[in-house]
Amino acid sequence: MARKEYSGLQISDLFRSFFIVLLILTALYIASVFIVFGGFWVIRELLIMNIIFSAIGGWYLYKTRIHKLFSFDDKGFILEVGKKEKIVHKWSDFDQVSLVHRGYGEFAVRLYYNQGKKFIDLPASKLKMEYNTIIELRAKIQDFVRASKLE
Amino acid sequence: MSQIEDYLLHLEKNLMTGNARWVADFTESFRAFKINDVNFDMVVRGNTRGKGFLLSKLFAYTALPNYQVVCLVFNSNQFKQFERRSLNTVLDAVKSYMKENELKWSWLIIAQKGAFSEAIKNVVSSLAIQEVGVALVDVDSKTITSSQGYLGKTISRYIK
Repeated sequence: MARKEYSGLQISDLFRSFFIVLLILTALYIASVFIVFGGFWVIRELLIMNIIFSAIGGWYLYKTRIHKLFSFDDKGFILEVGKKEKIVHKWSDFDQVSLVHRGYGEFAVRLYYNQGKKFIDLPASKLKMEYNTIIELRAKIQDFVRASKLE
Repeated sequence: MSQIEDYLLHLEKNLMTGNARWVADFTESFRAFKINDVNFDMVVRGNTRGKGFLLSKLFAYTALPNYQVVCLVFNSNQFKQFERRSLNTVLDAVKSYMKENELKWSWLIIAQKGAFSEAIKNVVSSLAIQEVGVALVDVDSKTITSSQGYLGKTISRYIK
């Protein structure tokens, strides 16, 4: 089976990264203005710079820490989270598969291992999959897991 | 795709997206789930404390109990003829699963393509198990026969 890949720009996560950086920069700005001038002044140019740096920093944070890339074939899968985390598994590592609703219309395919004591979630909705695609993916994974047990 | 599979997909989506949220918040669905040698086509786990947002979340945490519950769907075609003994086998499996997982209550749906016998319909409609609501669903005609009690009465509202 040819390797399939799912990814996509996760807008809500991107906004979250942007606001995290904006919050940090704004706090730094307020603190440094207070220390230097002994009060609070709004310097418009600096605020605009803050937003620009937040956009750049947010994008960097999203790309290196949050963006998800999922690929699989009939042997196993690779889930990359940002640039630093890479989860590689074979289907034979797992015992059971389920579909999980995490709230607010967000679905994941859950893979249980270690006799059902531990699990990994494949964040299907975050990977921009439609509900029907998630159902198909779940069925495929279930077949792969079952087939791997027979080998 | 078979009619039963269609029904399962429809029911699964309804339960998982909050169709039965006034009774329980179903969040996790397993397919082809084996309990005591009985193969359930679908097992959907949930709890009675909904998620909600802000005020409804606060209400859920302060006013609603956090009971673990389950909805199990069984395709009766696994038996040559679904009769009282078959129902008892399935119910025993449900009860043992509930005990093992400390579940407060469960819905048991027995689905079939075509009508159920009058005998089994009578058995189910006279059932009064407090912690298990049972329903027979004919996916052809969409007829539902449910058991007595609160769970039996509520089940038919959410599994169409």
